[in-house]
Amino acid sequence: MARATAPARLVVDPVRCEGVGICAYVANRLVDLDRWGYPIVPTWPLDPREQRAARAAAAACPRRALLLEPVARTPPGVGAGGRPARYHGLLPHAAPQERQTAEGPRRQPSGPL
Amino acid sequence: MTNSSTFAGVSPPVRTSPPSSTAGTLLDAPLRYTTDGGLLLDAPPPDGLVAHTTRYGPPPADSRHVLPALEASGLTGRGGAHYPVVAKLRALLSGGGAEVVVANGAESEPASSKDAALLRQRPHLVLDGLTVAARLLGAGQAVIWLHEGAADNRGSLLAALRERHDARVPGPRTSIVLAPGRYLAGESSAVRSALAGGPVLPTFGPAPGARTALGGRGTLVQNVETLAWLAVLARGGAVRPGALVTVVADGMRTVLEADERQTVESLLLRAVELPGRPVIAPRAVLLGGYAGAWLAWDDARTEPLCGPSRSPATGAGLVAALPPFACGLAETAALLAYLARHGAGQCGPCRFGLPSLAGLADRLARGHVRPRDVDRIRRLADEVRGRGACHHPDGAVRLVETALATFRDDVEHHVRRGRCAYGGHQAVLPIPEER
Repeated sequence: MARATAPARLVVDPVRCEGVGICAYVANRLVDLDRWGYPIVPTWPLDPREQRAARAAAAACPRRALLLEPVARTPPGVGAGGRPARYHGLLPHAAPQERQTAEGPRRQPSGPL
Repeated sequence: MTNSSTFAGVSPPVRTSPPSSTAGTLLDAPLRYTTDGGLLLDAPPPDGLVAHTTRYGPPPADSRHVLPALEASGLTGRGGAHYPVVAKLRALLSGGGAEVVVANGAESEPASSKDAALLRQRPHLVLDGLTVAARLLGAGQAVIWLHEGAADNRGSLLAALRERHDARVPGPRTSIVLAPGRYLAGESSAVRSALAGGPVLPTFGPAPGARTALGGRGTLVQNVETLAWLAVLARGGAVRPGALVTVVADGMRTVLEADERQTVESLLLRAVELPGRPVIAPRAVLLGGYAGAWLAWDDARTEPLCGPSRSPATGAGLVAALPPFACGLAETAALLAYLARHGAGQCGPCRFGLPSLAGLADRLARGHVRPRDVDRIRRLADEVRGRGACHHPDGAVRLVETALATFRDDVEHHVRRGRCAYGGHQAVLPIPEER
């Protein structure tokens, strides 16, 4: 199926999310919980296997706060993510900060899902 | 801590800022306010329609040249995010234009007055920009979004609108909408949400300029200064946009137009320069806003407001000087507490993370910390960054991280000795009263 292999990312709608935490049980190699119980999701495009897990997590969320977002959906002139390229960076401090943001506190999942 | 020689008085600048073709496009003279933004001292009179037309020429007749001119100028949004205006417009145009264009004048930055100054001095320029944007996007309606407390701006805009009506200046149907006085009421996704009938709260969405529910077409939200530059560009002048900046220093606020090539130092000196008065060099400057970035004074002396590849350092257009006797950590703690109180309370990481960060920063400011608490601040910052629907948490994180870097020596002093080398917990930058 073309849809299953299209590159996609897992996104949390932080307004909807209430920190229920079911996503981290359903896709425990993909989703981490922070100290308050809110999910930390990978920022990179998911491979088909990861997408299956992500879809299961999204389906399990009672708040419908997880979305599988096609990576290609980028309005013209906007950075590579679905969201605008961020301009936090104002100063010399900003350049390394921005790199950190792009990489995030992510951990590559180890082993098969 | 910067070295103690900054305490010494520095004489007014020997070199003046280089003459530039863009200086004085929006404001020809600095406007001075008191620190709480109330009183306006010896301001030049606002432009009426006649003065406006004399200054800038007749309103732009069509908007054909706007997109190329915008592209060439590289104009970015002046509300603080510096999102490229041409990208926003193109995104809306590809979706059939916009139903409503919004001039965002809800200036939430507590120490900033640049939008208020612009709306007071050049209301017609903002309205021209609104007209250009509306014509370009095929929008029949325009909205001017103001804080409910901005009575002066509302008055000057109403007068300007009446003048335009009497002189039959063409333009979209324009209404003034008053937003609550909260910090995030000027956030652009909150503006779009409110105009679509939702709460005045930031929403989680794909990108600025994306289509929203309102009438099936999009809503353009632009800061009033952005629209003023749009009006200047649409008149065909080959200008390189500068930036309006509020400089908070020496017990007053000064709004002036900055050339983005000039250094922070020359800007500050231009703002506080009064004949016969020595200028006291600050310890550090806060750039961008209360959710901005600290920069040590030694770096600020050479730091241009806008580097060749960077967005303007001005963020929402605030440059605040930290006086030589003030403690940067106490200041940061007060600002973080303010930011934590003024979140929308929607997203968990921000709702819980910012108060935790503010609490730790407060303990650091008081010297009630151990070395590992500084690492805890860093880890918390990492956990909060980028995890809100809007950029509110990102700004708070930027503030605290740049504080740890800029006031590195102070941090050590606070941790080791349990007290401040500058003797003060008293924050200097104005924090508005709780409502």
